[in-house]
Amino acid sequence: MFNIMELKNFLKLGTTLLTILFSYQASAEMKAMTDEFLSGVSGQSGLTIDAEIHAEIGEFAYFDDGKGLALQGVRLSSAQDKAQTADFRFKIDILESGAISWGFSSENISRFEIEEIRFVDTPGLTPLVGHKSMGGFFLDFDIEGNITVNNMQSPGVTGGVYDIDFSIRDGRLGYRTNGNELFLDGMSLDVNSQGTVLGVNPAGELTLALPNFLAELKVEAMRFSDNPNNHGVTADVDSLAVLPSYGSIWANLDLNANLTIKSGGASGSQGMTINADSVINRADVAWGDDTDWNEAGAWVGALGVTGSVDLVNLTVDVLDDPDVGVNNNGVGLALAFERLDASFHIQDFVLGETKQNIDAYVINGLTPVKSIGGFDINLSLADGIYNTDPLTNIVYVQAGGNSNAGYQGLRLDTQLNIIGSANESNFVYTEDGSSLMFSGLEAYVDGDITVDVTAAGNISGTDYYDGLRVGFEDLAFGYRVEGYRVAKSLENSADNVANLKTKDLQAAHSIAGLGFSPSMEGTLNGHITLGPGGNKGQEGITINSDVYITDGSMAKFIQDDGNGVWLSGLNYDVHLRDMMLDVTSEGLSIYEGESWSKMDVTDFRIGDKNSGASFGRLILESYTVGSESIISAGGAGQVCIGGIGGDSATCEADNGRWEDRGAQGITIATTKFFKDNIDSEGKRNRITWETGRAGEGTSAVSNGTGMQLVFDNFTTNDGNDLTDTYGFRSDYNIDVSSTRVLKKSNGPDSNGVSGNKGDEKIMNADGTYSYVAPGAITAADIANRPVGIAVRTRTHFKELDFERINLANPNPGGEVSTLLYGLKLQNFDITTDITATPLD
Amino acid sequence: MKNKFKIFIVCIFASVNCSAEMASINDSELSEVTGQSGVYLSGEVSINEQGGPLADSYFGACTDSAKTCGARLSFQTQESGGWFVIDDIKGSIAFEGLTFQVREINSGFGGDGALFNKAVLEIGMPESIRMNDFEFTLATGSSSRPSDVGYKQVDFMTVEMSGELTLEGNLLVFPTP
Amino acid sequence: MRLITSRIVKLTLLSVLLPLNYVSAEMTSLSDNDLSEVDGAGIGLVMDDFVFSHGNDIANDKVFKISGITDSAGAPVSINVNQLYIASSGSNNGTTLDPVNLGRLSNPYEIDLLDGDDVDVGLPGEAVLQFAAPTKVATGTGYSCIDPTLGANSGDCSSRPADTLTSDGLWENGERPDMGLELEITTGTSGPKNLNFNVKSAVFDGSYLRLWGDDDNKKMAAEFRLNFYTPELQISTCSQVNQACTSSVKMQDFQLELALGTTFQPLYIGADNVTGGLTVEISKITHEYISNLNAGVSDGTANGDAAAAFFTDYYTNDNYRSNIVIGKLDIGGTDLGSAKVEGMLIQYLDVKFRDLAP
Repeated sequence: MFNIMELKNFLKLGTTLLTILFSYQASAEMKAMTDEFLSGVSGQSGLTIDAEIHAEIGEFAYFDDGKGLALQGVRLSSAQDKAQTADFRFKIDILESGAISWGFSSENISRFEIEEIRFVDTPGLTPLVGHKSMGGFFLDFDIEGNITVNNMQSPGVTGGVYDIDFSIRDGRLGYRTNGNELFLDGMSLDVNSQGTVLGVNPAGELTLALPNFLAELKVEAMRFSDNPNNHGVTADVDSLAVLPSYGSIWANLDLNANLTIKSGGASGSQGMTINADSVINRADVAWGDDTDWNEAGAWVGALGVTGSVDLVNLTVDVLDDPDVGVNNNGVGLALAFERLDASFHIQDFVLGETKQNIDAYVINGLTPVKSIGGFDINLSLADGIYNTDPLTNIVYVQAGGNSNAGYQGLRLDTQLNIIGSANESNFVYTEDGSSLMFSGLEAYVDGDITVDVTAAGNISGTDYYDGLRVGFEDLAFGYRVEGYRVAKSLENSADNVANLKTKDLQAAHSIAGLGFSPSMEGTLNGHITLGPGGNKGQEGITINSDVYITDGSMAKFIQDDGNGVWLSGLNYDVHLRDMMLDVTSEGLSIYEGESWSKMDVTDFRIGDKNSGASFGRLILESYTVGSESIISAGGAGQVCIGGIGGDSATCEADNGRWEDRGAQGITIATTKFFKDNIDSEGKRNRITWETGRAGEGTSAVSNGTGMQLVFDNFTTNDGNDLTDTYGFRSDYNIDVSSTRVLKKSNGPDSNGVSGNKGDEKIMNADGTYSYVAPGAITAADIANRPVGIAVRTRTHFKELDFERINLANPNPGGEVSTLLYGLKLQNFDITTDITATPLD
Repeated sequence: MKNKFKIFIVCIFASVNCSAEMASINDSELSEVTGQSGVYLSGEVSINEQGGPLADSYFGACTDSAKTCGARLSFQTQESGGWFVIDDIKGSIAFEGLTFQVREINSGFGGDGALFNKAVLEIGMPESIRMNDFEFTLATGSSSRPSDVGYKQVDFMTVEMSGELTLEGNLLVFPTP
Repeated sequence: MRLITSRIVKLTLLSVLLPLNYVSAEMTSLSDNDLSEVDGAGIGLVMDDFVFSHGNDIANDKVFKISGITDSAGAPVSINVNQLYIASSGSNNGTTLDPVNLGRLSNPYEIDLLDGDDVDVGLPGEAVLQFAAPTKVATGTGYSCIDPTLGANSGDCSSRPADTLTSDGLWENGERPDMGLELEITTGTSGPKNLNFNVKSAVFDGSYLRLWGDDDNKKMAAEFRLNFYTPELQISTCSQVNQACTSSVKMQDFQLELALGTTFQPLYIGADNVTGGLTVEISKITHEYISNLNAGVSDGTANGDAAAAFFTDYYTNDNYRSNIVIGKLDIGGTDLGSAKVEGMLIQYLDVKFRDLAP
């Protein structure tokens, strides 16, 4: 309950703050109001303040144990012209309940900007031009809203209860480095948070509670500019052309959250420790391409997201990076946490849907949408050990970014560890009533990630491309899943995940078309640069990338006993030029301007990852131009296996088996054009097998010393050596669905379940299974067939031409001789329809 | 199940007449006792059943009797020589129970297993495998493409298979040092 | 068993010379194809518990036909494969199919890349692709190639017969399959005739095919060794129903050791670029210093000595010679005793197939 004294103090505080801000521009009307005058203020009359603000703060720094994070060049002004003021109207009322309502609205579009964020040892020193900085941020806004300060306290918290409600229109949120900027344009943000609690709890921690937080974000376009003269504008100031856009963004959020901040960090006596937990009641996130927010354009989105995030002991300090001096590392904002548990359930992931349909789906979840299915993502990050390395979770946010790109940018020295040995972390894909769990996910990263906004060009010998550049410097990474678990899905996502965890573990294998590998490790260097503009329409994402994985290993197949098929001693270089992503009504469309890669596997092993017997070295080189892929919602649908027939009756009459894989699922249609080699640029299509090397079978094996069989220079053409328009086409339909599994021999299987050869495996409701003789199968049994991963692949091409098959002897005096002077495959149209289930 | 397995192993080495309960378990059953991992695959492979994408003077639709609609593989062993051809490959193969696992072998095989003691890639032949009008033709030809001017092809034979095959066993693949 | 026929076969310039001197060898170890030193790295393949059988059986919806062959009058010849089988010994001409192993874990079928600089390969500077059956082992450490009843240490083949007693107990499968190809041939107006090939306990140990690139001649070169041993090879015209009929030729203790192509006289298999026909050739034997020889004797120079040594080895080395030995030939129940063709040396071969029809 307020008393007048508190009210008076509050108003004094408020007025004092306003006075500070207005210190240079306050008009003569502003006199401190006397308590007697204020005591008469109540009811309808209220207070209206028109403010024109132009505030500049040279430096605002936070110091922790002698090291400081400084925000420099902080400014609030007009967005149009930084010399002009940001204009607001404030309305202060006291409501009947005793609550104070503080309304605010912009009179023009204001800009809040931070020009540089730097690390400093001493406050107030003039910064050196070119001293490393994280870059600049700006926020443009036209805000209208209200904060109501309630006339009550939240139990146990000394502070206030606030109802917050505001809208931002014509907003921009931007990040600038080295004259280039990436920003959200035409941003609208609506926030409503009733009953927000901000105060101090009995433990002395600052508490923020958001029991009913609702927000909606709409971004017309995310834009990029490489013209230093542009500073948060929609059209280039010099050419007057509208700046290129990545597309539109929409997000919807309904959550409850609690946050506490206490003093003391991870190191030294100062710093902060933050704990937070939140429950997401609903969220939707989508990216739209060339859209009018209604029927035109297409969107990719995660809809109907629910979940929770629980963060334990996030410490904030300003510290020297342990790698200081190495790789441009220095002082950073150290964010470390003890544990982060995040669970997300995505009800429908849509590809190529209109905004109109997405809006209809948000209102009524039964609206049919182009969905590939749903996902559950469960991640636990905590201290742990991956292989033999102990890992923790800490990120040092540093200034500078990539060293050649300029003095601005972010360098994140990151160590993150996802634990999964007790299946704490996993990933579930659910479609048409069946679920596939990627079980026991363990992963880590350890190394530097740099973030810069770059423009196309060559600086000091390094090539850069337009867009947001995410760089990797000696980033060690690894991930593995222990296997797959499959089951029919349950309605409730938590129950579904719990149910899947009880299922038998089956071997994890690469899934054709997805390019997924059950385990991969290595050291990553290089970059991915995401630029604006796509191949279709005006908007989209253009990717340029050069990625080098060294000392790596990749599994193609892992069993639960640890044995598998491994590509070890992996060195993998991938180069992408002008790879363009668009969303069309078909789905996600990927056009690859030019891509080339070289995968050099030192040992192709079976058995144990490190000691398994090796088939030798395998080198896969690929060079394609103008390849395309389209990822769309929907799998194989209804198929007839082993016969021909368009429906169940004709199929079975032709000795086939009819399967209905449902409406969801993933379809990936790819067309690749394998091109003739350009040796000077390292672009070639070639497969090499090398064996009999010096030291073969040991860890000291020497590449290049063994005999080689080489399938050289394979290209596609239309069967006439003149044109190449058909290319090498692969269409994948991926579903999780039931199939027939037959027992291969008499007697008990590895789980002790008995049956005869030829019996069908039928699942029971409790998750166990039995073998049923073919004559005794009922319709109910057919509905309970085991669930597996069903992939339908259609590979078709007019002509695939291998220029030579060569044999190479590397010894002195040895030569490369031609074994076959030509190998041609013509007129192929192969469809394979294979379902994989666990082997018992 | 594990106890039965242990008894069986003891029986082998002791060369004792084991109890009647232990009917001779052949290697494939043994592999099911120890192999809890791996995948079971079923499905079908269909080659050019509706024809292929090429349409020229040689290739065409399956309904056109003057044209070939199957897939074709050819290779040349001599520079500017002729080509060996596997032509008109078409048909489908439906199978159930093709298995794939990485298996450690350290017993069986008439004593070879214990000496071998390594992992192999075991590809188990399907429980049932049925061909549907699967055919191919072996031939030799004078140049790389049948649509070339003056192309001559000498066919050796055409092989056609349909129906349920008897194919049992496991293919073991492993590196030889 | 591979059946190769063609529309016509027109052989040109086939010349196989039986040399004046040849070394006759014992029946049990005819040639010394000892490959155990050649250790190529590659892929090993073993078939475990293998059974294969398919045949033409219209009543059960099974089709297995070979077509595309015409007789000399141009009429199509239709061949039904009544059965093609590979199974364990004791299959009784393919009626009882038990599992057999092909290759051993210690000695598998292999696909290797060999180092040509290795003295046992003999192709300096080349890399060689080899497809090999299990290799033979040192004489006396393996099993008899022909007689499955002799136990261990009786010969030089590593593939074991069925029901071999090993240190691990009775090895039922063995690595010697029974194989058979049973054909039913129908031409023109005449009724179907049967032609069956049934082999018991077959052994291919020591066979290999080596391929490399001969860049001087711009051809793929091959060295082919086929060893085939069986206690009984039966060729019969019995019907499918009555496989044990008497109209058959039985070759017992059959041994074939075929050598086609060597490192200095490779086998070239290709196709003609005008007629499209298959060509098989083995170039004429020669040596770079052959001009230094007078009537087969060196002229005294170092080159002449090298040439003489080469030709001496060529004519005396068993590795280059082919042999066919039949221990007992039985035709329709009549025992004709043994027959041998030993020590064949192919000095030149040129075969071209082409279509007779215009």
